[in-house]
Amino acid sequence: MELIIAGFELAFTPLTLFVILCGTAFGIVVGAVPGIGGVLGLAVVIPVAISLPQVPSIALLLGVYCGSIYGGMFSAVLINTPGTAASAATVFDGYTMAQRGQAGLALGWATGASVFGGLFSLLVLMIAAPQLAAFALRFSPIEIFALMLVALTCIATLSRGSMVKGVLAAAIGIMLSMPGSDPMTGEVRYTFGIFALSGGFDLIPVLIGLFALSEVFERVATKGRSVPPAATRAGMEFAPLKDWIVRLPVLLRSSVLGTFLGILPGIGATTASFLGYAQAKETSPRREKMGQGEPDGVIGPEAANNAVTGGALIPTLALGIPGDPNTAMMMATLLMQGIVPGVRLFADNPELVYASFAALIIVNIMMGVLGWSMATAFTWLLRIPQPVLLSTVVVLSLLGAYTIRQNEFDLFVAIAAGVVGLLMRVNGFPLAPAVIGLVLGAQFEENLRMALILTDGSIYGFFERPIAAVLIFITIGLLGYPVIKDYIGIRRARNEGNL
Amino acid sequence: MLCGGALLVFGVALLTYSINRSTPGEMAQNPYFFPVAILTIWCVLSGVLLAQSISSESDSRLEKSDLSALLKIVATVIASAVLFSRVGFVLSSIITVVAVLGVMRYRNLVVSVILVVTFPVALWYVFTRILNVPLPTSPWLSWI
Repeated sequence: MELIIAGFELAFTPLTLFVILCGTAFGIVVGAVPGIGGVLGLAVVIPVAISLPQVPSIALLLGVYCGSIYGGMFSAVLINTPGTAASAATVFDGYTMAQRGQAGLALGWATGASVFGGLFSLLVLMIAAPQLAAFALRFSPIEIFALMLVALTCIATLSRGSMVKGVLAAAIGIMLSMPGSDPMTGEVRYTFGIFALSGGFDLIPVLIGLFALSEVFERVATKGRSVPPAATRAGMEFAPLKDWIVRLPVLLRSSVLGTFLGILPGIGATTASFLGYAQAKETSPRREKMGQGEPDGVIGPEAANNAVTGGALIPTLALGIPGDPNTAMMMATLLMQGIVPGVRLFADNPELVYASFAALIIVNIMMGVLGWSMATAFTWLLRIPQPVLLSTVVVLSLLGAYTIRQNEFDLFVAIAAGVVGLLMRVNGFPLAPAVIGLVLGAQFEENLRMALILTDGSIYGFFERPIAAVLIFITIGLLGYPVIKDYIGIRRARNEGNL
Repeated sequence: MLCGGALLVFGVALLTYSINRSTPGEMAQNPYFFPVAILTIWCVLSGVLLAQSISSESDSRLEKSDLSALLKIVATVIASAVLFSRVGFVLSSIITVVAVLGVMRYRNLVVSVILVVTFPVALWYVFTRILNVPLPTSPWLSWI
């Protein structure tokens, strides 16, 4: 209880509250503008985040993260185009409601569900993360290596596209973390005679390039000149309390689902949103009306995708293992701030952890208030021309890459990463495994090598530790399942062909 | 096919480089043990990708008609990076915004002028005066 009070005291400062207000509003806007999204939003606020004290810095990142997931529903409801993929399922009933003249009510349902989902997952985060961190304190490098292995495999195999491309993307990300001095021997490697590489690539310019600049390059090259569709003009209206009580089971089920999916690496808010919609369609007493403007079709996906935020922060804060690009970006920025997410954070700096929880509560409440007050402005905001938007992203990206080390070399690293990101995007490689590989690469290597020292270089020693053995078997299962599934499919097709 | 081939060639080159520098002895003490393991996976999967792409159509989303705009925007961003510390943040950002708007053929003069003037100056003010983050200044106008 003392820690909670201390956390709130740290979070309730004028600077933190102001930063939350700005961060959440910015997050809602980047979430609402189709194709921009939270990762790009996080990339452009990094220079601001690293120049702030620790608690406001975390609060800013949380505001942008949660705001962007929530903001996606504005364009889904108002222009039939989800601002982020996480709000794609909201289109089905949200836009139908807007077409019936109930856009304000749809925004109200989505806002209420988003705040509920966000706060529910926060509650789970506050209960589960300290327990998980305390449990994980007992982990040796063997268990930590196995945990990172399963997280990376999960992200690589569950990301969109082929498993081969997912694992290759993770390998590319890990190799990007290799230049610089070796963590065990100090030997400098992969610098190819370039002195600036002796410290390795800084995470932030690479992340800015991979996400922000590659997004700009792709949009300019493919669809940047498209004109945004006209938006329905609407304020926000809330349904009576009795209507909310009737829909409480849908809200709760979607929130539980979203939180659980958020904890699993590589799943993300998009899948949660569709599964939230699917569970509402499966279990709601009003399921026959879904697709025709039924509020359950709005609250199902919106509660689920916003519940992912708290869930995704559980492994990030408690174990130092980010499960998606948003949390990877946040973790990289926290590392720049001297905050190392993971088991030691809860033991060494619990006030900071509880200040983050307090900030998250304020973010979720402010999200609803800002959404309500900004609703009418979205008719205008959604008409921001692409060239205006992309030119500001380019300037902010270069600024973000430069301010980390005040180093011109990082600008070119960001541009090179942007080109690599573009090539990955256009060739169907998922970016998430590359980013997680980049963020976890150094720790992954260090833990493997420390584990090998503990087992005298024997791989079999890994299987003598029950938790590590289970995690390695899960990894084998994740990698083997698609191959076995394809093999069975081919056998079945052959058998049917023979009949 | 080009993508799988390029990845395979790059992976093999890096793997050869790493193996040549790898010292015999304990795995845990070898700085190239882990990269060699990752690069081996890289090369095997690139080979699989290459084999898959030979038997199926390319899924690249970039069309030839897009290349001109893409090259222009990449050149613009490289030029902005070169100018960043040479002409100062504000001037380089003004040039960048003008160039990006030009590449994307944006024609609204009023919005363009407002954006070109206010955005870089507002950013410069926030970073240098509020956040106390030094940014490169112009050699001709020392106050920006």
